[in-house]
This record gives sequence, C-alpha cells and structure tokens, in this order.
Amino acid sequence: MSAYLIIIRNAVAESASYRLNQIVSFLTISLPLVFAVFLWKTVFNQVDEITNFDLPSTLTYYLLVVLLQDILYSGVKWEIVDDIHSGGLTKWLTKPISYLWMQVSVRIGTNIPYFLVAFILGSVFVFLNLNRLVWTTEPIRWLMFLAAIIMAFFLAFFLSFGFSLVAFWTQDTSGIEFAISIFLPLLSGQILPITFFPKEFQAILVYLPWRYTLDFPIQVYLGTLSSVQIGTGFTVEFLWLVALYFIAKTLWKNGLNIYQAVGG
Amino acid sequence: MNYFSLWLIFLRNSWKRVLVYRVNFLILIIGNLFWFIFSILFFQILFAQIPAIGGWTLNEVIFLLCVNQIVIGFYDTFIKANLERLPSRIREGSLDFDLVKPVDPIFWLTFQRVQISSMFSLALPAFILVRLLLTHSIVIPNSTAIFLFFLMLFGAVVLRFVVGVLIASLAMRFISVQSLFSLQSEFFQYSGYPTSIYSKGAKLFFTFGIPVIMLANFPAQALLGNKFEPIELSLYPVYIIFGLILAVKVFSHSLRKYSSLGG
Repeated sequence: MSAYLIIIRNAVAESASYRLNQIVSFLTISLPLVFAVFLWKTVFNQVDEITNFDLPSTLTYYLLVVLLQDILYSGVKWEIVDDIHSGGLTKWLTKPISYLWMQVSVRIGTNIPYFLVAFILGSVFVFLNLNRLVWTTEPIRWLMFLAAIIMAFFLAFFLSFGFSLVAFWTQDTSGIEFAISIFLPLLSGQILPITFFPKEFQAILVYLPWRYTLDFPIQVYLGTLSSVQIGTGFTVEFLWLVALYFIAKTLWKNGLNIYQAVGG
Repeated sequence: MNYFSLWLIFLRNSWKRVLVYRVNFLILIIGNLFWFIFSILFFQILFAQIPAIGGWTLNEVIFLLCVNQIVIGFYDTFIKANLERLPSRIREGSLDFDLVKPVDPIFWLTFQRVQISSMFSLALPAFILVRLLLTHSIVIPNSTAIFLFFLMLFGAVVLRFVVGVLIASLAMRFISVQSLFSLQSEFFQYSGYPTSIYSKGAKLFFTFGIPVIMLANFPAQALLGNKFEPIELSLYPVYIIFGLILAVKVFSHSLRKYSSLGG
C-alpha cells in the first residue's frame, strides 16, 4: 500500500477517536445555521430575492458553508507550525516521502470522520427543512460542483500550507493566525454570499483566492451564477491553484535552507 | 482587606500584564472590534434590500448590536478569562493553591484577572450607542426606560456569569469543557438578532431555555420602550436570581467534590 494511503488510514483512525469533540465542534459551527433560518425567513417574507438568492438558495448556501468550512479551512495549521518550531519536522525530512503530500494525506484522513459526523448531524437540518432547500438534479451542475470542491480543497490546503511555513522565519505566528481568523469569514463568503456585497467590494473579492474556498463552489451548486461568471470563476480558481502551489513549493525550499531543527 | 481592595489589586496586576504584552493587547482590541464592525456591516448590507426586519429599523438593530457588544464586553472583561482558565488550572494542579487562599474561592477564581483589552473594546459600541441617542435616531420614552435598561444590562451580565460558572463547575468533573465555553460564546453572539425574527415557540426557547434573547433584546427593548410579554417580565427576575443561587450552589458543591489532579 502506498505510504500516503497508510497516512490517510492512520489519520482517519486518529480523527475518529475524537468523535465527541467533533460533535460539539460541529454543533458550535452549525449554530449560525439555526439563527440563519429565523433571520432569512423574516427577510424573505418582505422581499422575493436578493441578487438571485431566494430563501431556499440562501438556506442551502449556509448549510453547505457549515458542512464544508472545516474541510476547506485555509488558515494556519498549527501542526505544521509546531513541527517547524519544535524540530519535529526533521523526522519527516529523513523519510522518503514529500512533507507537502504527507500533509495533504493527513488533511484528507482527518476530514473523513469529521465529514461523516457533519453529514449525519447536517441530515437533521435537511430533514427539518426539506422543502426549503435547493436540490440540484442536473448532472452537469453536480460535476461542476465536484470539480470546484476538489480544486477548493487543494487551494485551501496550499493557502494553509503557505501561511504555516511562515513559521520558518518567525517564532510567533499568532499575528498571521489572528489576521486570517478575522478576515477569512468575510473573504470566503462564510458570513454572506459574495454577491450580496456592494459592487466595489465584489470587484475585489472575486479576484482573491479565498472566495474560491467556499462561496464559488456553493454558488456553482446553487446555480446563482451566470455561465460567464462560472467560466471566469474556474479560470481564476485554476490560476490561483497553480500560483499557490508554486508559492508553497518556493516557501518550503527557502524555509528548509534556514531550518535549524531546534527542539527535542 | 475587603473584596473591593483585593479586586483593585487584581486590576493593577492585569494592567501590568498589559504593559508586558502590548502588541498582543492591541491585537485583541482590534479583533474584538472587527467582529462587532462585521455584524454592523452584515445588517447594513441586508437593510440595503429591505426597510425593516420584523419591525426593527437599521438604527434599532445597530442599537441592539451595541447593547449586545456591551454585554459581551463586560463579561469578557471581568469574568471570561478567569472561568476559561479553570480547566487548565485543574489539569496542572495549580487550582489547589487557589483553594488554600483565605478568600472566598468563587470570588478568587472568577475575578482574579481583568481582561483590559475587552474593556477598551467597549468604547466603540458605547460611542455608537450614545451617538444614536444624541442624533435622536433612537428615542427614549421616559426615565423609567433608562432605569430598566441599566437594570436589565446588569441582569444580562449576571446571566452570562451564571452560564459561565455552571460550565466551569463541569470542569471539576470532566476537565475538558473548552468546547462548551466556545459553544456558549457562539450562542450569545446571536443575542444581537432582533427578537421578532423568532416564531412563538422558538422565542420562548431562546428566552428561557437558552437565554439568547434575554441578554441584549431585553435591555434594548426596555430603552426603546417596546412592550414586554407579561410572562417575560414576571419570570425575568425569578430567572436571574434563581440562576445566580443555582450557579453559586453548584460551583461550591463541585469545589467540595474536587480532588486534585496535577503534579
């Protein structure tokens, strides 16, 4: 079996042992959904739609945000920071595997049990709001959604990996972590769909990578974007994916040059 | 030495800590304010599409958000850091040293640290709130409304204290309760949503089951002169007083049952 598959399997086993924590953590991040139902029902009682969004598409948007936001997290990964600061990275450097792809495997493995927990708990919400959600039956839209999600997974990972590698140059990454934790919900569309923002903001946000980690894949599923917007979106997402991969590789190479394996 | 003098010493020590970690202090203030600003932006974007949410105008919702932020600010300043440190003190065994001090343990454990950055974060919501009043964007009907507002604002902070202390009591038994602290903070972030968005059953649940509505909506409604349901007004003082007594009893009981863990 490939080394990466073994890493995924181990990560699944380790992650599954924290089920209770995952349940509470999922309940915490799904709270906005409960309040979103009440708020948006009141809003859409007064207006039929806001920038192509009606009540079902808005509720589905927030449901997908809750289901995907942890899997598509693009902030600093403290395990990588800890590996660099504690010297734990050394043990990976002596192994015949790539640290980057090892981390990808860990992320996949860690997210499988979490997604199952999220899926089961999310089903309760789906069951209670069956008639208020968008169900796409077009295969092409499912395919585009799947493609956008896979790209978003790697995009989020490269962002996360790149930010974490800053630990090579600084002992304190809390500033970056903090800045990301503040702006990420806004830039990724976690708080509001990007198309709800004023036009001037949208013009900037659609060219930043964070939008493609949540807002874009979800809007592809919902069908709230025009075909031109979808085409442009996939192009921008792909360009960011390639750029961030090379940035992450460069940071890794330069970081290793100054890495001193301090710690024990 | 009385308890107030002791608290002043806590305040002085907390200030000294601020001077050591100045950058962190600034970061925390900015962080607290950004969330508040984002909430206002969120509603401004919504109100660009609709004139009111369940009868609440934009100014009234901003007022409500300010009240909520003030309640959060008071809780974060005086109570939060102390209660959330409790699980790690149990794990490390340092709680034992706290319990041998000749001071009431509840006072010692819940007021030892003052989070001064959160105190500074109170300035912006307080400023916006006063501005709304001065520009007559919000009109106060009479002096009783002001009295009720401050009373219910105090009640809201007491309520946060009650919930925090009850969770901290669980730490004596289960140790790992950090996720419960996060869950309650997340819940009370939504106290800034207008009460009129809830259905009748949900309103009752979020008032007396999980008191999300009680925290900011009650004081805000008092100052705006909005009418309360008779059940809300009659149960409110009972709820707060009973909650406070329950929290103190449960916490004291948990302390008596506490057995040292760390080394």
